[in-house]
Amino acid sequence: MNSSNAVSASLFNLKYGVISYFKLREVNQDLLEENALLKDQLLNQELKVGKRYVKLKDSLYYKNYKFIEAKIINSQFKFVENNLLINKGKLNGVSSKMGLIGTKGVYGIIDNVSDHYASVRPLIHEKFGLTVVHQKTNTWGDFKWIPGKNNFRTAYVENVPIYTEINLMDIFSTTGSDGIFPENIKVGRAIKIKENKEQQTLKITIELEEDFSSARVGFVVKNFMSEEINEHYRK
Amino acid sequence: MNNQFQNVFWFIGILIFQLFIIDAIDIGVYSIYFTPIIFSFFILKQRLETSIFKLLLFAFLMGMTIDIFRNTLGLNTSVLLLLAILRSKFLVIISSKDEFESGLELNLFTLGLGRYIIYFGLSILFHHFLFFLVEQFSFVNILTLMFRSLVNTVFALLLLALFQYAIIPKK
Repeated sequence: MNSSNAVSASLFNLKYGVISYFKLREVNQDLLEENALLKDQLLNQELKVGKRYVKLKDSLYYKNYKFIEAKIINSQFKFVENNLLINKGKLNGVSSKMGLIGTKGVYGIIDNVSDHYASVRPLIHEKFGLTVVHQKTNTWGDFKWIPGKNNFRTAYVENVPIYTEINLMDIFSTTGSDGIFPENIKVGRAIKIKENKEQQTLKITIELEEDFSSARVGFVVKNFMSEEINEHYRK
Repeated sequence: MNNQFQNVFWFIGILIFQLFIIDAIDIGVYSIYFTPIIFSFFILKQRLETSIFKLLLFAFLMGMTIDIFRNTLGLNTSVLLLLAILRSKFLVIISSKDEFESGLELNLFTLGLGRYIIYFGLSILFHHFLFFLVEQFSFVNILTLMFRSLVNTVFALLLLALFQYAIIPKK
């Protein structure tokens, strides 16, 4: 009885079919930019392994992540417990606790899965938790979205030590330690920094990379090593 | 028979309008001030002599459908059921001794503008306030919450008036 059931999901799919045309230009632009970036990374690889070297069982060369492209057919952004709906489900290899990223940054984590659809708990959900890392200093912090104080474009990063040197517009990204998201996927940029003298921490307001009011395409992240990682967390 | 048919029509129409149009409208960072809840109109507009059993049944069906679509099982249902129970209390405010004829649906044209604003305004304001409170489940930012419910009530009343002008045939 959640919104990823067949009836409501196919209705939302119908709605997506109608309104997706209005955003085609922007989506196209985003995809083009990402394409360019990927090409850039591919052609400018610093590390190249020639024919003389043999790759042994090195985890660096394991294929860790698989990306499944998905369309976001419904996106809520006005409520306390918001919810996204994507058009890939069990039959496409999606299961719960996988990540969903967009062309710019993180969207959320898969919650419920049906045969052809899945519902996603986005960053802008009251009960969403994530550890993020400040890219320049490699300091970790806790991501938190508080409904009354944040709108759907902003969020807080808490529990960052007070001595960390953070400037405005610095990027916070995923850590890759949870086995859900790969490393260095952007979450947001710092737009306001507040010191908490009593607890000796910083409270940073970040602007989210992804705009949830115009979420259209995303990629489900499938980690082949997630079971192995989770074994360590269980102990 | 005709009334039942009309009810089905209103049920589906309001549902589509709420879920696929109002929920999808995006006005930037001020979007929390544009979340009018108009589906309570379906309960509020029922005739005076509608039994409480029927009202509760309608409210449950309406709330459950909205909840399934929004993935918030129980939230809208509980608030709408409470509104259905308290409907008669709101009706007392506008119907003094000079009552209306029975067998009339309650809307802008049968009530007149003044009574429309008092009855629908109060009940929709109550619905918004309760909904935001249950959704947030704490008393933090209570002033913002009150302001939000007031603004959204005005939008809901305007939208409903528009809706009624477009659909209900005038005599």
